[in-house]
Amino acid sequence: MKNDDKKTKARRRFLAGGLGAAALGALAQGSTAGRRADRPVWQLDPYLCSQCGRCATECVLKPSAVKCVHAYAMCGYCELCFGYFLPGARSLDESAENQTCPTGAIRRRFIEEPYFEYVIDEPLCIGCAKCVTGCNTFGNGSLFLQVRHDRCLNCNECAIAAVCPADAFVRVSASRPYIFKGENDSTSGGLS
Amino acid sequence: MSPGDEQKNAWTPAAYGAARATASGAAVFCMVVCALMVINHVRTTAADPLDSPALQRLIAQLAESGDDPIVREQVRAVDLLVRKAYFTSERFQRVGAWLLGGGIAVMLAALHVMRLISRDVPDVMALPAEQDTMQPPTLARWLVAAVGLGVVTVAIVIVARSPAGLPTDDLAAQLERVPETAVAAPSEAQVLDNWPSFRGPFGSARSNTGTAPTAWDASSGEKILWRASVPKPGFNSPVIWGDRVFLTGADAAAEEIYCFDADTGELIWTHTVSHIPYSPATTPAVSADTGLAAPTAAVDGRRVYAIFATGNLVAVDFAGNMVWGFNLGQPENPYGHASSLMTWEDLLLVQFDHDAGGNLYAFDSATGRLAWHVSRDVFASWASPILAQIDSGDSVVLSASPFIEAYNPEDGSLVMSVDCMGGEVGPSPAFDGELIFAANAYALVASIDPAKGSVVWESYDHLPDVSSPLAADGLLWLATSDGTVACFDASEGDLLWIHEFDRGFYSSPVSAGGNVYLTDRSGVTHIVRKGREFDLVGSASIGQACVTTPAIVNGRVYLRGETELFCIGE
Amino acid sequence: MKGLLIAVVFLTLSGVATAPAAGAGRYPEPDFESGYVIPTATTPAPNAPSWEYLHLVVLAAVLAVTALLVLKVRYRAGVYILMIVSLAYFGFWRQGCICPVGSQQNVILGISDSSYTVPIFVIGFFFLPLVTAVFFGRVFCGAVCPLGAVQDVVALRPVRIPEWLEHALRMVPYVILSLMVLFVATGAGFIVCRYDPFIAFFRLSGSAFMVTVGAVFLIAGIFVARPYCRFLCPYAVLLSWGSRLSWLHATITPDECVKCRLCENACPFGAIQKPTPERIAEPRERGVKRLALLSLLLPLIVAAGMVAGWYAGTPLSRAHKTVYTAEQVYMEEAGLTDQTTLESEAFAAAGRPAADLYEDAEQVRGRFRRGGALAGAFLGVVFGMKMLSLSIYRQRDDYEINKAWCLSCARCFNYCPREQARRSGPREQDE
Repeated sequence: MKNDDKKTKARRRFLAGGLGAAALGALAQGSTAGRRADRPVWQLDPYLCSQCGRCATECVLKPSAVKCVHAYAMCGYCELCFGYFLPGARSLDESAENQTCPTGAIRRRFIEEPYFEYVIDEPLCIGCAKCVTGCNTFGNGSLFLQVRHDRCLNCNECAIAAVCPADAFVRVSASRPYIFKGENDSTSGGLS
Repeated sequence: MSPGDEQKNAWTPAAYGAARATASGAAVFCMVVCALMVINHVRTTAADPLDSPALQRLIAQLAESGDDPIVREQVRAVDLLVRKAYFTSERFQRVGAWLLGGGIAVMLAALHVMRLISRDVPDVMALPAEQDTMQPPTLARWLVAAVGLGVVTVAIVIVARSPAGLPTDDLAAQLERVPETAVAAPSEAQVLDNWPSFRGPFGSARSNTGTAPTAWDASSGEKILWRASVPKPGFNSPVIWGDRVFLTGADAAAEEIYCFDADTGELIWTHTVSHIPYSPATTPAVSADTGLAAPTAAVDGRRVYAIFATGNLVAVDFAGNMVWGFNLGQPENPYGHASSLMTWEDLLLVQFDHDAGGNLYAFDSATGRLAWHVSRDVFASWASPILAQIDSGDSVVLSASPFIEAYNPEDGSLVMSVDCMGGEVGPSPAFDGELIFAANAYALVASIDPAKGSVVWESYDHLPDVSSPLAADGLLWLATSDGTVACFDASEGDLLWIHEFDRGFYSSPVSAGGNVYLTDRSGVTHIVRKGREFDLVGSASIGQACVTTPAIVNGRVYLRGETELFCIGE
Repeated sequence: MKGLLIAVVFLTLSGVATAPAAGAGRYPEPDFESGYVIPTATTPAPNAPSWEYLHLVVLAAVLAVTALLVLKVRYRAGVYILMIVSLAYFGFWRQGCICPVGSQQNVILGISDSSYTVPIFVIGFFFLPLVTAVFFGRVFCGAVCPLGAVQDVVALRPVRIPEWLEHALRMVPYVILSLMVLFVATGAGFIVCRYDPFIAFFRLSGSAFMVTVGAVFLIAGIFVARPYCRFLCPYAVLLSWGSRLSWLHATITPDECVKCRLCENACPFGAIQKPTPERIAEPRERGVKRLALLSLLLPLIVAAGMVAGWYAGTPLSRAHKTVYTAEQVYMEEAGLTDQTTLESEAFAAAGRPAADLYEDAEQVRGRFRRGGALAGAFLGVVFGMKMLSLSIYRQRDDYEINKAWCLSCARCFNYCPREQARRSGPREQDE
């Protein structure tokens, strides 16, 4: 092969260039290396969420990896739950015509007068945020959406994040993969 | 294709046939699964089971039928059905994907086996003859250039196809065109320059922006700048902020807030009140001359606030979007709720005196959060709150039976209470800077010294039933439902003059530029010079019945007739 | 009456507001007497990061084994089996992310957005195939990439695409690459991930649109082998740069070319170059003239690319959420539209002044214009250089592999009689 010498030179040049670029990149990244060990995962900031309903439809999974979560400590345990009941509900019971949830994924249980507990039945929840809207608008806001990491595939670019109108999707550290309401104030959303 | 060499591989044709059969079987299977999945997908996207119109219809029907048990059962049955349909179709797609994947894998494997068996030796003889001359890659070169040009063309096309009408160059340069949203509460001067509530600034019924036309005629169009029809009826009066005029209207179907352009009369937006929890499902019973939208809205330059006979109280921003809203509880009121709203600083004041109790609420105007609330021991009232300066502090003054009361809007503490009123109170109080006036038919007209909390003078003739008194320049004006206009000396209580017009007054007198505007129920406005003797300047008509109070700002009179809103001016 | 009572109690307790985020604490925390313990919501953990390092190790191992199989063992069946294993592992089991093709965007984002730190394993996924390409050619494409593998298994009846068309179509990945960089660097998102045609198959779930696109690619892939790899994949551009200079690269023949023409149609990807005839059909001075002309034109082409890119920047910026939201909000505020979108509603709910949004949008537009100009310049260089290289005639005596285009799949080896001879005993089809 007559071109061998030329090739070798070119290769070395390229290698040197490539490795140099790699080293530069690593250096640029070095300042934040402490956090590097943490893998980023997708999460949505419930304080930014506008309950547009896209979490139910845009996720690559069906049903969505985003589901409703209940921060019980924030809940008022109201008999009249605005997340559970439709605004026009005619009676405060479990019948289908009164429920906000299209899949019947909220279970309501009497605790003691006058308190009722509301539990999300996750396999049924599709992340449509209808209950979240009700609870946020007229209640304590203890119902909110979260990416559930037992389902989430952690796509390189989250398909919901790409279209989230409120820009509520953020990459968070895998060691703190949830942004729960009631645990932090709204600014310490656990952003990585 | 020849299936291999039969001499050495006797099993080859059989294997080839088997592979082909497998591949064809798998292909048919895949096509069937694929078709079913496509059908399922099309069906669920065309009619999302969770958003079933049949279910929505049934729920609406249930509300209309007043909880019919048969409809209720139907709702439950359909609800179960749609949920089942949803989860079944989801499972179908999941199982289908696995089946399809498996089918394709089998098919590909079989096809590969077929290809391996039937692989041909490359036939060199079939290749085109070798060329002895090298053709320069001219075509490739031109095509690469064409692709490059294609990219540039695509770039040009997307530039050219950018929709017109959008600020493509500099959004920031367009900033001045965007109306700025005020954040601070309006100053006193701003309130005086506008017409922010029923009977104008602070409910004084006095216009502070100069003279207004004294003659117009709707039939000839004289001085009528514009007239705009109002979609839904309502006996509330226009309120004005800047170049926006707000009205409300309601019928059994919907409650609406309207925003008109003050210069053109164009209906800029209509906000339909919705999503109010506890909003009564049935339309409240109201009398024909009160209606479902009697209370006049209030505006503070940031939001417009409205209340309806249902007890729905909403705040809407200047773009027509609801900021907050809720139901105050349906007023128990034989005629319908009529008290208008008043704003003070960052609060919205709501007089809510009905048969179940008297109330004055103050809500944070930005959030709707309750700031304070007082229970009042009064009968139902149809009067509206006004603001008065008592002991140099602002007070909200309410007229109801039996008390004329003043509260500190800061915290709701009682400033003054005078036990003098009676009957079903419609007229709102008036304040001339020193004295508070309150009047009502079958009761009295009283002048109250707010500092002392005592009645200064009272009179029992020519009492208004609906129309509110006007106190201006040492005079007190009353306009009665039977057409009498009476003018008193405000400080002494002497009756200076009376004049009997042909038609009665529901509209309240308004003072502007040395005249008083009195609109009778036929829509004729009598303009009387402010003075101790009766002096009619003129009478002007909008040609349709009118029970609302004119808003007079910047030389223009805005008057809502039975069906239309008129703007009168030069 | 009941409704009224509830409402009044409700009001006096706490007031009502619809402003989102103002929700907390409208109702007090209940005081349970029945001994009820307030539960906490579960927080299922994501996969441990160590999994990603395992995947990285698997990637390195598969790359190494493939290189060995292609360069040393020269065993196509082994490469094919490895490809199926990779497809099963990286595709169907791992379900895609993160892959080296997508990782390019993370690296660009790491450079352009200081708030984003590229995790080490992502850097690994990005660099490992590239480094391998510099040493051994595009073995990643040959047997590791699941996107390539899924196309490779359907390539049953590949047709030969004429060389001139192949040259032209292979320019498209450069356009995709520059658009990808532009979109990531301006914060508009990862378009290569968004329009990945095959990931929906690996997950057995995805949007109907991308499933359809993927199906079209696979059906086309029966006749046009690996269409995505050849005519779209942006990572292929980087890999081909690496492979061009590779230290060792797969060769058709194990030792010497006998010019038997048996391999002439062996490559479904058009990566086998025929020996060149001695004579050239055009006078030498014409070639030289063209070369000189093109060299002079090159700066002009680059400048044209820059200008086109600059002007295309503004409309392209519409793909950015901030810009399309700002334009919608602007249209609403200026009364140009009655329609609201979810974006403008969410913006209104957030309560930010519109001026802020416009300013943000203007900055994004600026980034798009500047980035568009750079991308245009890059494309100008690429297209210009390509035309120059098509004007320089290299002499070839043997059947040779085009290193930039070769996917190191080892298909061609079996076609070579020297290869058959190398193996112990000739096989029957070579008789």
